[in-house]
Parts: sequence; structure tokens; C-alpha cells
Amino acid sequence: MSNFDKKTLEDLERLCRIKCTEEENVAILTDLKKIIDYIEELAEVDTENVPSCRSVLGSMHQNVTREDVVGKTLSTSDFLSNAPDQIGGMIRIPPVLKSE
Amino acid sequence: MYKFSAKELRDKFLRGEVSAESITEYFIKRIEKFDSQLGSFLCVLKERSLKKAKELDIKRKNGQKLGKLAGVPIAIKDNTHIKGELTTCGSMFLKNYRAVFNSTVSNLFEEEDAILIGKTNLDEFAMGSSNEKSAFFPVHNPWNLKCVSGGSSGGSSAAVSARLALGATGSDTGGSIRQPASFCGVVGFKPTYGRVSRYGLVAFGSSLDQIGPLATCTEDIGLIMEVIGKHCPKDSTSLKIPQEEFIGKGIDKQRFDDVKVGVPWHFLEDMDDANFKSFKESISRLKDLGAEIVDINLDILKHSIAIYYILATAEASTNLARFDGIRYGVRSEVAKTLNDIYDLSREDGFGPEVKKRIMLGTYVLSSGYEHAYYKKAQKVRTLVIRAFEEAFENCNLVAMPVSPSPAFEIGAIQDPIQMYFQDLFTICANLAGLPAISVPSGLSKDKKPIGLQLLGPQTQDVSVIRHAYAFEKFLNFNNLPPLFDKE
Repeated sequence: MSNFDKKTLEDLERLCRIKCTEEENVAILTDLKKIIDYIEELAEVDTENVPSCRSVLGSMHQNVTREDVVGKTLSTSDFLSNAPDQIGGMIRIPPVLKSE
Repeated sequence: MYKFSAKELRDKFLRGEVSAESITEYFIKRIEKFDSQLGSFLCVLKERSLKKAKELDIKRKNGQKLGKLAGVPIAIKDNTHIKGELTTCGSMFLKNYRAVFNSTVSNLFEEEDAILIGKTNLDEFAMGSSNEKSAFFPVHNPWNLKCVSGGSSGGSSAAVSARLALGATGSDTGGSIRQPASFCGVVGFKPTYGRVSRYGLVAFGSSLDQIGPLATCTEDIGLIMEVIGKHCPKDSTSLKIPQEEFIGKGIDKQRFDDVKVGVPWHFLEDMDDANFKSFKESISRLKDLGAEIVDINLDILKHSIAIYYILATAEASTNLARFDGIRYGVRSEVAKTLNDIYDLSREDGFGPEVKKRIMLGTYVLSSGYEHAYYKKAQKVRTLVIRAFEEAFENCNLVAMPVSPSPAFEIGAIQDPIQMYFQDLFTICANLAGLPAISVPSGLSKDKKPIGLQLLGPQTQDVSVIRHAYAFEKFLNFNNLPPLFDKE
């Protein structure tokens, strides 16, 4: 059995930058405990001397490089078209270094 | 008009028997009439598709060359970009997001004169096996409206099944094209990893994700693959394979003579009786078509789900870190600091399943646990790939069921592990990067479709599709759902 508990979940929320409601937390904790207990079955598989899968394409996998050339990418207005808040052609966010 | 295949309708258009505009109006009306029962579309691109149709009619009138999918209404899963249109991913986080560039598949469809008719519903960020996890509304199965359409490409499977579009795209990370295709009685194909460009697909599990087609028949799957199965420099995992003919010459004579089909009998022992019976009947049909059935050992696949829920969630937790409420998507209105923006926007924007998977992915990658989970899973993944390599030394194709049971009722599965078991037979193709197709193989006693899955070695996409075509033709199964077999 895993030692996944409420404290682990709270740590995870911080790492994931997700806050959950108390109600959500109860459901997520129950589910995650079950899932983590389940995935622990992998421990029984003998993987001594087995390499990690680096690419599913095996020998067909190629490193792809390209010339570093300036191309037409997104215009500023396109880039900003989905921004939740903007000012003068830039994305606006609350103060980072100085809060109220 | 709804009874035609994509190829038949294209040919009618090319012969001038029907205009692209009337095709488009017809399918838009069909969506307006029927989709309230299904919920398969998140948006209908009425203006865009009618504009394209008018252009096609002019092109045809002027004798200009027309593309391979000229006049065919195609739906795009709503996690794939069409420039200027919404891409919601079935999530509140992106409810107002408009794509600022075209995905490669959307480009290729438009170049070949398909009519992009709408964006289809999905489980939020493609995370689900039933389409109940869409943040907007669930999708209902055209064969039985009380049942799920499968997931995560359940909008695409329901739309094609009810003939609201004659082809659609899906994305398949662990079975998300094949399982909904089997639930809705249509054909769904997951190509070899890298065969179709993922550029413009919102990433879920990048080492597993693959875009592929859903259609009413295998011939249309081949036709769509000829359009979208192309090398793309914008996707670094895109394979450089020369253009292939997926259906083409001699297809009518395609059989299974001299073909060895491997079946992992031992692995399949614990299946639902009805689906297992149907699977055995399909194997008999393959024998009728000349196949030699050989027993293969794929017992390692019993670990597929554990490997998948480590790797897919690890990759998802990384991929979904970009949704921070800064550059696009929702931003919490009550957030006062930068940290609040991250925390509260992600709280508001993501649904419970997505939150759960991000947390699981973060957990398996976190210091102290990485070796036990993520690295271990990558090693067992190697064993899955090796098991298939060994199997394909003794057979040309592998046959398996698509899912453990036919479509279940909405709300029937609440336990997460039970839901994840929906993907028991499909995940392996993603773990090993193999091409795999789901083709209808009949109906259960209570009239729900069941599918047969055929898998081939990497890059053998053509062989998988051609043999599925032979099976489909031999079976001659009517896959039109009775509820929607009407004007």
C-alpha cells in the first residue's frame, strides 16, 4: 500500500499550482490512492538490464535540426489575440516584485 | 445523401451530380436536426464551410483541378487547430480560445478541398474513455442514446456514425480513436507513431499521441490517410515515408491468404463473455478469408494500464504546465498576485479528471518516486515493444478485441481503475507506436456495435488498412444506426 495521504496531496497541489476545493480533495485523494496502489504492480516486473524506452520509433528515430533562419511566425496582434489582459502591445500581469 | 461514403459523395460532386453548396447545406441541416440528441459537435462552422463550398463549385465550373476530398464534409476533433476557429479541448480553460494558426492536418484537408464542417466534442484535453468528462456536455451513442459514445474522440465517432459528417479526425493516446469507433460502429485508425503530423494538436502525452481518421468505411480511412499521412517539418517526430497508396489497385481481391494473424489468447482470458464470443467469431471470419491463426505471447500487456497511467500522466503534467492564465485561456478574475493567477486560473479552468491526472503525473515524476514509477514504466515499455517485435517474427498482423465490453450506460462506471480498463486492449499500440485499426465486427445481443482490432508492425499502415478492408467487405455489416437511418 502506498503512503499517499492528505499531506502528500497538499504538497502536490503546491507543485502543480492547482488549488482544489475541500470536496474535490476528498474525491481526488480517494481516487489517487486507488490508482497509485494499482500502478505499484509494476514493481513485480523484472527489469534488470532492461534499458529505458527513449523513443518508441527505435532506429527510425532521428534528431531533427534545421537552419536558424528568421521566418514568418505569429504577429504581435495574433499572439495577443487570446491574452486575458494586455496593455500597449504587451501582456499585463499583476506586480511581481511589489505587491500591495 | 447520408448513405454515401466520402469517396462516393466526392465522385458525385466531381461528376456534377450534386453541388458542394447543397452537400454542405444538407449536412448542416442534418446536424441542426439530430445533434441535440447526441451532443457530438461543440461548434458548427456554417459560414466557413459554405464559403469553401461556393469556392469549390466555382472551381468545378471553371474546370480547375479538385482535391482528393473535394466536397466531403469532415469534422475535426476540438483539440486540433483550425485557424480563426475555437479550439476548446472540451475544457473551460480554453472556452474562448481561437486558434492563431492551422494544424497541419487542417491544412492538408483544406488543400485537398475537404469541407471542414465543425469541431467535435471530446473528454477534456482528451483525458477519458467515455466522453463524460467534456466540460460542456457528454456525447450520446447513436445506437443507444442512454449509452456513452466512447472516448476521448466520442464526438467524432458519434458524428460519423449518425452521418452528420462523412469523416472526422480523432487523436489517440491510449485508444481514443479506436474505442469510440467500436462503440459507435464506425472505422477508426491509429496510424504508426509519427505517420500523421501532430503540429497544431494540443498535446496530451507526446510520446503516445497520434492523430488519425474515423470514417464510415475502411476505404474512406485509406482515402483520408492518403491526404493526412504526410511528412511534416514542423513536427520533429514526423516520419519521412514516401507517399503511399492505401487502397488502390487489386483491393477488391485482398484476402488473408499467406497471412499469419497472431492472437494473444492467454492475455485475453479474462474478457467479458459477449465480447469474447464476438471476437472468436471474427477470428473464424479471418480464417474463412485465408488467414492462418497463430498463438502469440503478449502477457506483458497485463501491465499496459499501469505503464500508461504513469507515462501519459507524467507527460500530461508537463504539457499542461503551459496553461497558466497568462498568455491565453481563462484568467481568474479574483486573482490579485501572479501566484494567484496560476493557482486560481488552473483551479477554475481544469475539471476534476484533468486535475487528478496532472497531480498523478507530478507525483510519479517527483524526487524520490521517479525511479519507482516513471523510470520503471519506461523500462517495462521497452519490454512491451520487444514482446511485439518477437510476436511479429511469427505473424504479419495481430488481432485483438478493441474494448472489454460494448458501450456502457452514461454514469455506469464511477471507479477510475474500472474506467481505465476500457483501454486494456488499445494502449499497447500507443506504447509500441504501432498502426492499429478498429473495424466493426457485429452487434451484441442488445444491439450495440462491437469492433475487431488489427495491429501491424510500425510503418505497415497500408497492410493494416487493406486487411481491415477485406474483413469489412467479407462481413458486409450494415453500420448505420437505425435511429439515424433517415433524412
